[in-house]
Amino acid sequence: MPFELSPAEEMARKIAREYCEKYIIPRRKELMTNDQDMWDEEAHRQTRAGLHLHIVPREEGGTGIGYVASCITIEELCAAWPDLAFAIYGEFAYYFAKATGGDVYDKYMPGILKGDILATPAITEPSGGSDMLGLQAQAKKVDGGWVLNGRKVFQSEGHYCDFVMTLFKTGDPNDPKTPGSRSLTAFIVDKEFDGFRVGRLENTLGRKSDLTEFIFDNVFVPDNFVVGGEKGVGRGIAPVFSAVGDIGRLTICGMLNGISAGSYRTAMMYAKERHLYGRPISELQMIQARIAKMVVDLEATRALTYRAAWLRTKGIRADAEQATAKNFAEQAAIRIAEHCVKIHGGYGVLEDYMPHHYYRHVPMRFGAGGTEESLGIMIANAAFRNEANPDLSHNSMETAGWWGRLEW
Amino acid sequence: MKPLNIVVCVKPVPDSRYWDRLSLDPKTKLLRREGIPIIMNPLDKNAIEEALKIKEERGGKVTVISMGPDSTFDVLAWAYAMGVDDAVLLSDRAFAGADTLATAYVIATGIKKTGDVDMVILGNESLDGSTAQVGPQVAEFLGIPHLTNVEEIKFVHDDTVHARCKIEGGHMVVEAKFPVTLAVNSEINDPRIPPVHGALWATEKQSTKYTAKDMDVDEEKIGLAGSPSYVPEVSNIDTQRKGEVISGDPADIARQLVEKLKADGVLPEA
Repeated sequence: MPFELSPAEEMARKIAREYCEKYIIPRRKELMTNDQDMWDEEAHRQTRAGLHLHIVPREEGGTGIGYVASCITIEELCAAWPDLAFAIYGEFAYYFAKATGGDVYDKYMPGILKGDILATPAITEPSGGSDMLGLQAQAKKVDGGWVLNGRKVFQSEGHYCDFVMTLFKTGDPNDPKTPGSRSLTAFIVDKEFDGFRVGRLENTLGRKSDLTEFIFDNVFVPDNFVVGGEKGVGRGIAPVFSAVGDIGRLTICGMLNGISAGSYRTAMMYAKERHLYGRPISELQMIQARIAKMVVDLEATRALTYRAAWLRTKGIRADAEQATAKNFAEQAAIRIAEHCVKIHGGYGVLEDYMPHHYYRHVPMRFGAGGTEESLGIMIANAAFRNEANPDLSHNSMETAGWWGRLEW
Repeated sequence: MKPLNIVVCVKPVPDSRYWDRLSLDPKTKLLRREGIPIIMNPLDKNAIEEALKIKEERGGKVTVISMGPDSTFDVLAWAYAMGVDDAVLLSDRAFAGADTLATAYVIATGIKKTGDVDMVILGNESLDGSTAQVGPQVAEFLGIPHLTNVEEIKFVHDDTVHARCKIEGGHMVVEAKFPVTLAVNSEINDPRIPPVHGALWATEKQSTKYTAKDMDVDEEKIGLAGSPSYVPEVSNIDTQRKGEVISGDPADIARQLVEKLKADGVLPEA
């Protein structure tokens, strides 16, 4: 395995950083006051700059550089501001269009390449998201399509999205004809479909008006918007969880690593500028110890994330690696952000300083892409299924594919 | 309008974010640049942006050219990422130690080697040297007109440009026929962020490298030998703060302060 970024990945980082230095970093003060205008402006600017195109193959109009470049791009965006990463929703849009193919691909792909179209998965319900078979939302077959009824919650930036991929019950898990997960089907729902609307916007620890509720009130979805077409009925889990893993989990790793990288850079700069006892605090060993711990965590979390992303770029499913990377990334981010706050002393908690924002955004990502517990189960399952291969090479993880494979 | 063949000159400069690490070598009179990342001179990005805009409007070709060591390839990669068609590096140990005149001679010779040129665009000055001499000198070596501090250009005829140049207290509009050299300032445009596909162009397009031999230059005119100017002395400015307490009533304090500032040359004598 190469332990270096490719020149194209390095350049992708420089381009993302240049974007941040032009559009985000000069406007952090506005973001600190939760200026909604900035979010509205940024919603499509990142995708119009093409920051979501690294996962799109070249022959389809993307850069094709891959998932590592995607993680790096998101990392730079979130180092600039901890949750301003709309490129993610451009990536989701491509992934959903590709997974569904046919009319859905044709309808959305031109807009996706231009950066006009954003999408998000809509899985979690008020009763939870990890227990798939416990989902309540129901779809009923009618002539030419399906009618969907239900509620989905906790969709980040959902109100900016043009369409969603959602998971509905199309059968009874206890019925032998639709046993277990065969009772679930994934649908593409356009925001313009009658009966679909955005409900409440929840204020969060990170910011205001972030998490969205979607309401499906007798929404008619044509057959060609079923993910996987006719064969996709009862097979909704695979595409949804591939998307949650490949895009959701990897980009969440990118976001968390961005918080880590941003905290680290901020702390380094401050430690060199802030003087105590007649010298910069970077010369104090207790501060150096914190910096060293930040470096260790940052290097480790990047290594796990980039490896999971590298496997995915190679076309190898990496569910357990993505889970491992995400569980570590959130622990690393909370530790690094805490060091950053502490190095800043009293200034660390002020709203006008970045450490405050890095720190308070970490918990926003605890549940996203899977909780530590549900991912822990995935990791343990992969480990126990592969007792014959305790070294955890990528092959071991591939055979452990928990959610099944997305056939493209 | 006919397509234009445009050459943009770019310079590698030390990244200003790391200038706190720069120091002067009292023996060689040169900057110690070790460990400081190299970036493209900021105004050269404006020059590339203007060239790309002209190409988008009229068609043609944009070539960047630079003189420097091999590490300059990174700067040329950024130009490729922005969207230029070609990049040329003029690199030879014999070019080292050049002042602005010897630099301009090498660059002008390199430009001639790329073929017929309609327009040469440069940043008005560099971030590190700030002499603003290389643009006019290149133009002189090429035998073409030069306009400096250009903040806006318009094409009035197929082969004529109107350039608005900033001068002290205002601006002047100058008309020039191609070929012409334009040294642009930061007012002229807002340089683009490279598109994401630029990450591919930057890594897949190959720059051309010319050495002194390839260019058939006059050895008397390059490097240290070709440089009529030299730096006799450099020194660090050592600033030291001093504290002084002025007491009295507020009006008296103000009066005393103004007197002291005048005495130190901070404020002009009335």
